[in-house]
This record gives sequence, structure tokens and C-alpha cells, in this order.
Amino acid sequence: MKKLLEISLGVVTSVGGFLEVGSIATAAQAGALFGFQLVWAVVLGTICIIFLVEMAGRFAAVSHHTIADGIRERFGFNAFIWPLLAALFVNFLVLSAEIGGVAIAAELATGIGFQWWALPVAFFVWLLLWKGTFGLIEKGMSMLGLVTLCFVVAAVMLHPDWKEVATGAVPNLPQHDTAKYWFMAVSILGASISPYLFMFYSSGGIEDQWDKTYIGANRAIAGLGMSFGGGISVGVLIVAALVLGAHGVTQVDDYNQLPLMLIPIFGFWGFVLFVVSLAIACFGAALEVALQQAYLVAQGFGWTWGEDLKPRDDPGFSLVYTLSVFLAAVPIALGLDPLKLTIFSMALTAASLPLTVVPFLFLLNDDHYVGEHCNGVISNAAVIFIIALGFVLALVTIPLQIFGGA
Amino acid sequence: MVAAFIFMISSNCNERKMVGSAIRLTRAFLPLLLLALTSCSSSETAEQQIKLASSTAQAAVMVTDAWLSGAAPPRYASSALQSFTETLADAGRQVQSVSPSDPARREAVSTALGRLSSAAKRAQTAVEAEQHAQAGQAQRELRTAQSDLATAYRQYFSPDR
Repeated sequence: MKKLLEISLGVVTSVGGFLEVGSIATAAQAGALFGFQLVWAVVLGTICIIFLVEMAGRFAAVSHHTIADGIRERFGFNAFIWPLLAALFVNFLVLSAEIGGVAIAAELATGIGFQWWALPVAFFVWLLLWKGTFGLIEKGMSMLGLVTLCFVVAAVMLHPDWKEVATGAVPNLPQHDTAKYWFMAVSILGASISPYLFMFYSSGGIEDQWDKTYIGANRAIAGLGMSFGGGISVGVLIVAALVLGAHGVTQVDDYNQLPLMLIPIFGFWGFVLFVVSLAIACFGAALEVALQQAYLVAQGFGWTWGEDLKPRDDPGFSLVYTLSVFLAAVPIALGLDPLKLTIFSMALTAASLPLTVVPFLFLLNDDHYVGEHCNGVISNAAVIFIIALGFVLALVTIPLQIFGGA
Repeated sequence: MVAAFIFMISSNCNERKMVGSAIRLTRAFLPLLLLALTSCSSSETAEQQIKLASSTAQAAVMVTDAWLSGAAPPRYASSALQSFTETLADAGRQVQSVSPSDPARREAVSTALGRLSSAAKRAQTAVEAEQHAQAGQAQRELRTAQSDLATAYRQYFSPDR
């Protein structure tokens, strides 16, 4: 019974914490311009993240190591430095975009420009990290994040042609704006298969003191939680297609267009729901990404780490998230458009995938770490597929950024 | 390109060699980069700007509509309309800067874009002054200007150009 409760809580946490500024922005842009055509990218990204999250959780539960820890120990610090630098850089951009997302929500609610909100938002993120516990950050924010289910409700209320949605779930070729179509596909994949997600998940497994008895729970949480989370992203895409796209708003280049997704469905409450969803989803993600920066550096250098420890007991860890949060707020405070930064950072996230995913193939097949719980054929096939996908994305991202991302 | 450069840096310890490699790499990629950056012809620029303007104008209509029905708070509506006005004005400037084969057709597009921008500005002023009738009028102007833009767009890209 206790286990079932834990699984339910884990699934709810995953669902509530799935949506963030990247998944909202990319799904909205894709839906507005291409209708249901890019549903497949969300589905593919969700399947990939299910596998990676399950493996990261299994690795933590069995070996009592995080993925970052495992990479450093298995391959040595010199090999670890490359994924570390890539992940730190990409996470910095994502963190900045998430702070930007909360700042946009604050601007929409108050009318005061988003750049004025960057530092106050960073301060609140830092304060919660400094004072809060892992449970509060992981479960508390994710519970609040369930408000994002309003996109699913809205999608159902719009009565989409489900057959057409299902057709969009099968990869298909663009009928117009080819470069933009592929750039959007790459961005959606980047938003879905974020390295911070599975790295954070493995650190969370250690924070929650998982052991081998959690393998089943981990599988259920990864499978159900991420599937439902992906469902919310599809919900955003459907709403964008049936509200923005159908009204002729096909180029979502301005964050002021985003609340228009829910207003025609829920009226004034649609505006409120959008602002609250954006604020909570991005605030939760900002907390997780900032923590992930600290996890990465602390685990990489072998420092003491743990969100449940007092800052004086893990000063290096606390210093890293403090610096990360405030530095990431600077580009937004200087007026960098959060929506453009989001799309750019999601594409770069996709490009950085090989560096963080290749080690999975070795770590999850190493008896020393996972023993009898090593990868089966399906999991290994999935990792190889994701690695191949990662390499393709890494190759095409920059040309697509030039041709389709402008 | 960055990855290739990093790889070269890692595999070359000699500083001179490194600089030489970087120059060779830059030479190899420069034409590609220039090609990419200049590949956007003036007609493509115009087409992109017209599409962006059409979409932005539609968003302006939706925001005004939402404000008129009490579904959007005035602060948001005003700020959104201000941003849309700027986008529309910028699209007008971009179209003005392209060098078309038929300047008259470009002028028709520019005029329509100018009308869209003015109508969005009027909608913003009406929202700030809480004048529903004027906002409704500005919304109708937005729709008319949109239809003019659609006509100008068709003519701009008609085959007899």
C-alpha cells in the first residue's frame, strides 16, 4: 500500500513537473504553424525520455550512484569534463529561459516589463533552494504544476479530430516551410529529451534514498509519469493548432500571443490559467535546473552534496546553485527575449544529447554498477537509437538554426 | 563547426599549427556561412514579413476581441497591442527596404502594412482609454487592412510580375 502511494505520488510529480517553458513554447509554435503534423516529435521525444529516465532511476537505485557520478568514476575526470561543460552550458541557457518564463508570467499579470522581474524571480528561486528541502521542491512544486492539466482539458473541450491527431503521431514530411518544420521538430525533441530531466531524476533517486526495491516503482513512475506529461505537451499543441492556427495566428514569435490559446476556451479564467501555468511550470523547472547545475559540479568534483543538507554543510554545492541562478537571470534582466532564448536553447539541448546519452550505453551494461539489472535488448536498442538520433540532431541543428530558426 | 574547432584544438598542441588549422577551418566554412546568410532573397524577405504581419494582425484582432468581451485584462491587452504595433511597423520597414521588380506592388503591400500598424495603435489607445466603441472600430479597420494586405500579397507574387 505504501509503495502504491509512493508510485502514485511519483507519477503525479512527474506529470506536474513535465511542462516547462520549452515544451510550452515549442508545442505552441508547432501547433500554430503545422497543425497536428508535429505530434510525432512530441511522441518520439516522450518515448526517448521514458527510456532515459527509467535507466537513470534504475542506475541510481541499484548502484547508489547518480549518472554524473557514474560517468566521472567509470570514464575518469578527463572524459567527464566534456559532458560536464556541455551540460552546464546548455543548462545555463535553459535556466535563463525558465527564469524568463516566470518573468513573462509576471509581466502578463502586472504589466511591468519582464526584465524587471528577472532578478526578483532569481531571488525567490534561490531562497527556496536555500531554505527548502528536496521533497518540497520536487513534490510541492510538481503538485502545483498539475494546473498545467488545463491544457488537456482545453484540448478535449475543443473536440479535435482524434483521427487527425493520431495521423500526426506518425512521422510525416512537411507540406510547407520545410526548414522551419525540421527546426521545430528538433526544438520539440530538445525540449522533451532534456539532459537535466534524467540527470536530475537520478540525483533525486539518491536524495530519496532509493534501493533495489524501487526498481518497479521507478519503471511505473518513468512510464506513466512521462507518458501523461507528454500528453500535456500534445494538449498544448492541439490547443495551439485549434485556437491560434485556426484563427490565422500561425507565427508565434511574441509571448503576448501565448495567453490567446486559453482565452477563447475559458474566457478570463483562460488568461489566469495560462499565467499561473506558465509561472508554476517555469518556476518548478528553474528550481530543478539550478539544482541540477549544483549536482553536476558537486558530483563531478566529489564534493558533499544534498538539497536536504544545510548550506553550511555543503558550501560548494550551495555556492554553485547560487551563482547559477543569479548569472542566468542576467540575460533576461538585460532584455533578451525569453521566447527566442527558449527556442534557441531547446535546439542546442538537442545538439548536446550525444555527450550525455552515450555514457548510458556503458554504465547500464556494466556489471560493476547494475549487476543483474543491466539493460535488456529493448533498452539497449532504445539507447542506440537515441544516440543515433542525438548525432543527427547535433549535425542538423546549426544549419536548421540558420535556415529555419530565424 | 565549434565542435570541429574544439577537436582541432585538442589534437594540436603547437600554437602555430592551431592558428593555421583554425584559419583553414574558417576558410572552409565561411562560404557556407555566407551562402546561408545571404540565401534569403528579397522576395523571401517580403513573403516572410507579410506572413508575420498577417499572423500578428490576427493576434491583434483576437486580443481586442478578448478585451471587448472582458476576457483579457486591459494591462495585458494594451501591452500586447503595443508589441503587435511595433512588429507590424517593423514588417512595413522591412518590406520598404527590399528592392522589387515592381515598386508599385511593393507600395501596395507597404500601405496595407502601414494601415495595419495604425489600426493596431488605435486599438491600443482605445483599450488604454477604455473606449469600447473605438476599440471595435479599430478592430474592423484591422480586418479591412488584413484583407487589403491579402490582396496586395497575391498581386505581389502573381506570375505576371
